[in-house]
Order: sequence, then C-alpha cells, then structure tokens
Amino acid sequence: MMGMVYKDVLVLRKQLGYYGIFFLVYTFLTVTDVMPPAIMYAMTVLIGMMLPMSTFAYDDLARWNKYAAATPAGRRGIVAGKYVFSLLAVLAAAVLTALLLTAVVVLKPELGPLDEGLIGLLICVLITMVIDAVMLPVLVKFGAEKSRLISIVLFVVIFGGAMLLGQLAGALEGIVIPGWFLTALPGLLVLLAVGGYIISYFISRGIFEKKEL
Amino acid sequence: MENAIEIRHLTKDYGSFKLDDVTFDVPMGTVVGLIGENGAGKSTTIKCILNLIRRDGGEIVLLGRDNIAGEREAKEEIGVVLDESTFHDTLRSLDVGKILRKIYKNWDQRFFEQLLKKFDLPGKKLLKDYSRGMKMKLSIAAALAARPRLLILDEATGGLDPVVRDEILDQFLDFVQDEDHAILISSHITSDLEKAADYVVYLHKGRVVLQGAKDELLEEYGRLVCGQADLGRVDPAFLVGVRESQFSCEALVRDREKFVRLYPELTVDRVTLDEIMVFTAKGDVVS
Repeated sequence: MMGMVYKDVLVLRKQLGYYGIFFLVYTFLTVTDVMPPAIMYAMTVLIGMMLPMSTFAYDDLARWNKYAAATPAGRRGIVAGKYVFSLLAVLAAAVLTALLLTAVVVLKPELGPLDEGLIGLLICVLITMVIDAVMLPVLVKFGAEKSRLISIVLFVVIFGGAMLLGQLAGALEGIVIPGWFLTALPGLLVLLAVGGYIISYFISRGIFEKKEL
Repeated sequence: MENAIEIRHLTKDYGSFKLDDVTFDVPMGTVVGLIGENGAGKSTTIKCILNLIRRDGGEIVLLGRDNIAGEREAKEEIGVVLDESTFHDTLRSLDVGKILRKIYKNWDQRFFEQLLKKFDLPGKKLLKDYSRGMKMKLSIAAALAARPRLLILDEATGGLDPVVRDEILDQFLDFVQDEDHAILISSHITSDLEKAADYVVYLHKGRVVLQGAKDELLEEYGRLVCGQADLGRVDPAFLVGVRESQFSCEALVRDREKFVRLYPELTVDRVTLDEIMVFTAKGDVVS
C-alpha cells in the first residue's frame, strides 16, 4: 500500500510544487490585503479535492490499475493507497496553511486571533474529508473522466447547501438552537468526517473487488 | 515435474465471446507459448490467471496456490509484463524502481539498475520520452527485478523491432535456465515462440484447439501442396485444414511421418507455427 502512496507522490510531484507556489502567492495577497485569509482555507479544500482526482486521472491514462492489481499490492492495496494519499494530501495542505496563517497573523495581528483561524481550518479539513468520502467511491467506480461532472455537482450541492442553510439560519433568528446541540456539533462533525471516511473506504473496496480490469 | 500454472476447465463468458473450457499446464523450467489470432482469448486467459477479471468457472492454481485464495503470496513470486507500458509518463525509470521496491518483498534494486544499464535505459529520463521498445524493456526489467519464479507476459514483444525482440527473448531464455522458473508468454508473433517456447497452447475462438511440445507439434504436422486429384485420394483423417485454389491445393496434414510412408509420391514440407495457426483458423475444416 505504501508503494501506491509513494507512486502518487512521485507522479504528482510537479503539481505539488505548483500548489506550494500558489500557497505562497495567496499568503502574500493576504498580507497585502488583496484577499481575505479565507482564501487559504479554500486552497486547503481545493487541494484535498483535486489531488485525489488527479491521481485517478493519471492512473487511468497510464492504465496503472491493471498492472498494480497484478502485483502483491493487489486491489486492496490500490484502494487503501488512494485513501491514505487523499488523507495525507488534505493534512499536508492543512499543516502548510496553519504555518502560513500563523505567519500572516504575526505580521498582521489586526486580521484576528490565530485560534479562530485554526478552528476554521480544522472545520475545512473535516468538510474536505466528508467530500472525499463521497467522491472516492465515485472515482473508484467510474474513473476520473466520468467522475468529473459528478464531483462538480457534488461541490455545488455541498457548498450551495451550506450557503442556503446559512441564509435559512439568518431568517430563523428567533429560533433558539439547544445548547447541547451546539456543544455536540464539533464532535458530530468529527464523527461524520472520520466515520464517513472509514465507511467510504469499505464501500470503495467492495466496488473495486468486483471491477474488471 | 511441478507445474507453475495449472488451469482446469477455465470459462469466462462475455456473451459475444466465450473462453470455453480452457485447460493447460505451465511446467517449471519451461516456456509455454500461448498463441492465437487477435481476439482468440489469450489476454482473457492471462487476465483470469492474474485475477484481473472474474472467471465464471474452472480452477487456476499458481505456484501451488489457488489464484484467488492465495493471491497475495502467489503474486510475490510472479513478474508481469502486460501488452502496453503501464508506468506513468511523468515518472523516470529510477522512480519505477523506488516504487516497486515498496511493493515486492524480494525486489532487487541492484539487479534492476543492472538491467537498466544492459537495456540502455536512461534512469533519469522521463518515460514520456521513451520509445515503445524502451518502455517495454523497462516493464521487463521491472518484472525480472522482482526476482519472480514465474513470468507472465502478455504480448510483451508486440510492436517491437526484431533486434529488440531478440534481445528480450534472450533475457527470457536466461531466466528459464533455472529449473525453478517458468514463463507463460502470449503472442501472435509465432516466430518468437518458435525460438523460445518449449510448449505451445493454441487458442482459437476461446477454445484450446491444439497443445503440446513445440518440437513435437512441428514434427507432427506438415504442409501438403498438390493438385485437386491428388488431394481427393488422401484419407481425410490426415487433413486438418485445406485451402483450395484454381490450380492447386494446400493442406495441413497431421501424422506427417505416417502420411509420407503412405503417400510417398506427395511432397510434404515442414510447417511453422504460423502455418498451423493459419490453416486451423482459415482453412476449410475437413470432416
């Protein structure tokens, strides 16, 4: 399985370099007040979504899975590799964002307290995990090309839905949300992200076991 | 003699094509050539062996283990070369070694680098700049560096020039010098198999129509060229396939030695695997 993760890193090393440059550019734009710090969260989500999709696209192009399934890594190794790589991608992007965010807050304290920024980042990581948990089985089933449209729809539904909920919450200001729910909300999000990711892995494994290569 | 591969009654039905009741062995210390025209079922057979597609029926034993129940253990001892390079164009051949050493327990990095040198494959050049021949040689180097006991090669020499093909076949013959090694190689370039194979399995429309030791098959069969009147006198039991033209007939005859004794006035030439294939696939079947 580690061979599969390492392969993804080597295949995408050029792309990873570009993303690193993007991060630095956005950090600069944040420090110079051209863009808000939220753009860096968006980059984390984008990387967490785009990198797994790119690895699937490269694998499809090279017909890698046919070969990889004939090695000792087998079908399970291929699927496990994708999940570990996707998780590592979002975590690495989050660590980089956290470091840059710290630098930004040190340089411009008026942008707000660091802990609030880090909590926002953590929420973005968890949301990305939920998106990946939904997207990865689709990618395993249909491949990168066919999944592109599905993932765009997914992105619009999740973020559009979140915005809609935000507006709805604004309209229902009079309604009191129970305190226990607000307390449990972070835990529920963690449970949804981690539990969803694990369940998603087993679904993908089941799909890939049946796939003819 | 232990068998590296045992296939019994293998069946895979796609509806429009069926791999039907395929049975053969690959003994240790030998090269077995799987021949047949395009679409005969060679790749389907190999995919079933490697569990890349699900078989509908039959049994496959790889190095003493069921190919599904003992898949992981068996694949540690198998080197695979598919009909096209499956390594990403953004990689370099040295990257391929770094990846595969994390996948194969017995990976021999030194041997891999020796093979890269032997095959003139630059380690730091991107694979997108490799020719098809270079990519195929890289796949073969990767398969051999896993230190397998069994090599499974699907059209590994297809599309390569004769010089590269010869170089690769020599490498295979080197590999099989060890009695604990075996090779299953599928190809429709039968001249390659005439050079390298000990046994031949001929697939036609999803069925095994001929199998045996290559030298015995080439001894057993002959090509008869004669007039229609002469052909009419021949016992049909000798004839495998016949092609008739306006002025002469060509036929593939079995039991060449006996045929020559019975019909000394007729000329029977030696055949190639190619001719056996063509007559069986295209010749009129003689009942």
